[in-house]
Amino acid sequence: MKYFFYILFIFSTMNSANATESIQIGSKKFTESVILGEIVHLGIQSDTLQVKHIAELGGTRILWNALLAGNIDIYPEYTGTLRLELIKNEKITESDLKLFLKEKGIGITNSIGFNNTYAVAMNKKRAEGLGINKISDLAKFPELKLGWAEEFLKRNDGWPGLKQKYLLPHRMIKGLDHDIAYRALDSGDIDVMDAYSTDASIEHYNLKILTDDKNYFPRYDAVFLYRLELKEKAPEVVHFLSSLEGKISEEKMIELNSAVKIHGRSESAVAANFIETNFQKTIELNAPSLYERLWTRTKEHIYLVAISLFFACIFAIPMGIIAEKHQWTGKVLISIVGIFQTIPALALLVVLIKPLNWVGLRGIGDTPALIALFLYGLLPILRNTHSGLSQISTSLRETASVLGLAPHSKLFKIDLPLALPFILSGIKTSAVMTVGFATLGALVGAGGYGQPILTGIRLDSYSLILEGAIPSAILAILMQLFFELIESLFVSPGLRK
Amino acid sequence: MITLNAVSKSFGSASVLKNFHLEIPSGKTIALLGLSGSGKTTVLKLIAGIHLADQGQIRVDELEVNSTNIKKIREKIGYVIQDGGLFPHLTAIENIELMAKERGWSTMERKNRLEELADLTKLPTSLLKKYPKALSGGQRQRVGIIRAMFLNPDVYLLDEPLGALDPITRSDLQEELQIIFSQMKKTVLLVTHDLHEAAFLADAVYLLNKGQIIQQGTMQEIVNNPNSDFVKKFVNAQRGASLN
Repeated sequence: MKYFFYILFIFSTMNSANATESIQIGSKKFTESVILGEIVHLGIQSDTLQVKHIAELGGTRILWNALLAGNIDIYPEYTGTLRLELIKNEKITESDLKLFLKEKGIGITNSIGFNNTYAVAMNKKRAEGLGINKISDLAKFPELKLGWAEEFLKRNDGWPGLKQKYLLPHRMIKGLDHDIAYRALDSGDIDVMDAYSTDASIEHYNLKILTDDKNYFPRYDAVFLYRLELKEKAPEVVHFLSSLEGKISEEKMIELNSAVKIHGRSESAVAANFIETNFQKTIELNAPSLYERLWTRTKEHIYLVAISLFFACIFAIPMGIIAEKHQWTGKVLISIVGIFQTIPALALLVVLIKPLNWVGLRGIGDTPALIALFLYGLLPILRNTHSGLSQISTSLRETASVLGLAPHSKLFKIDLPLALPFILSGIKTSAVMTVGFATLGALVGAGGYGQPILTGIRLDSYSLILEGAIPSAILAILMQLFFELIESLFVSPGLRK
Repeated sequence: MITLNAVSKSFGSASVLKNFHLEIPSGKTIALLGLSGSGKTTVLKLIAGIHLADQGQIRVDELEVNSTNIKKIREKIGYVIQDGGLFPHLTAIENIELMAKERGWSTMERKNRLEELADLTKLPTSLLKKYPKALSGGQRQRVGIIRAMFLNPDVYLLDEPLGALDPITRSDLQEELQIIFSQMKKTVLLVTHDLHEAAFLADAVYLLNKGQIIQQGTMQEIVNNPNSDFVKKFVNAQRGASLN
């Protein structure tokens, strides 16, 4: 198994250029974080540094763990999140906080100038109709439907604490994606949602921010966290991060956010504009054309599918052969592989981060995506290999034995060719499934067609969602056709109907 | 020479053969006759080493049939089953030459042997490139027989080889088989439920019921002097069938 990881590793490094001084910036799965990540990305870009921005990498945990493991070097964070969620010590002083981080090899900048605290928002008309102005007013309307982002629902500084502080009696509580929540609020599916105080959509969706009359939400000053070794490795990067301190006010951030979310400009363009006006540095943005974007993502996507499928075949076909020979082992194998199918993809991707770090591999990017896809791809191939071999009639098996074929000849000349139509249809099922699953790879920074889908959901842009969904569907169809071609080339005409 | 000495075989709780004795002299064709479930196919599969006996001894010439000798035993055996037992993913010629290639025969050797056997079994060579599904029942059976004969084994085990054929093809093939067997002087064990086929092809007939040999001898002897009601019934039933 160890070798398998190494082979995977070699494949995964093949895909990304390996410069000596490479800086990886991460950002969370929301626009503001992506803009901040992109500002650093463009700000530190130079001839001597290989800088990569892994945008929309995931939630707080994923980013934090990736930073600790050295999978990324920098990411934007908020002091409130740091205190309550990551360190779990609300009262920690600033110097203790710095010390705590230093022990983990992490540095922190001062506030870059704005406080993006959590806020509770309602549709303006609805709030006014009910006479709700403050969060404490909510307690009078227990029938209201609350829609919280998954993260807010679970965080110590999110819903659990809010509920306690304001004694909120509500029972109808939904966990949903932050970006979807805006639309749900707009359509009346939910009445109340969590928002960020610098969120561009507050104005766009005509929302009312309820006053935090009991001062529940702590300060969420935006900072950058970075690995301390950058001070040696690339001091100019740390210098740039410090130069951002105090540079972005709340108004400025809302403006940047709405340039992306409302006016549809790209994060890169908005970040480039910011750098140019504030740092007198000219940024040459070569925004890729639709064709170039599609081509890059197609390469990423096919890479994910091809490598994971290749390894799934290498493992699942022999497992299927063993399963057919030894009934008991077969049952165990099929159950174990079946269990992988039941793990939700997102959970698997997140769960993989730590073990991968332990074996010295990157917990984000291609590797976890490849491993997850590999695990998902096993079952159909294993099952079909098993049933393809099982359906060979007893009389043919006996004939092959009595003819005197050696076991390996029997396997390669008789059994596998006879089972081939089944095996190929198992691989085909896996391939089509993997094309769909691979879109989730974007959640851990593996790119592919999932990237525009992810961005599209965040920016509420159907065209972006379709930019990922349509090629993904086309690829699935092509995959189907490809395996039909393979079938016509490799399955004996004697076996065709 | 094939001998089975005090052989017993059960599948699960079902005893198929009990203390079974049989001797097939070299160069003779013996038919095992009986109803389905009588144990005749089990006898054949025990000799071929497909199943191993629970008790007793089975020998093919000087070799005892057991898991150590299985490879050598199988080199001595030609095996034909109903409908030829052809591999559907291989063409007729690929089926026929499968083992010769495995043993490293040269193209020339294979070609010569094939011509010889196609001649003997009257198989048109134009059919050799076809897959089994494109062949008729009789053609498939001929290909199966050629495959069994290709390496020139000493012993032939035939399990209802003509069972799936129409009457005309069947009688053609019977005649051909008779010629082949008498020319070759091989040891042949034929398993069938067909009295006439057994009479036509075999030097001696063993009639089986419930894992026991009820009567043995030439077909003439059995027909003229059935030694039990069962034999009488078996003989009469088949006579009747052929008269109708």
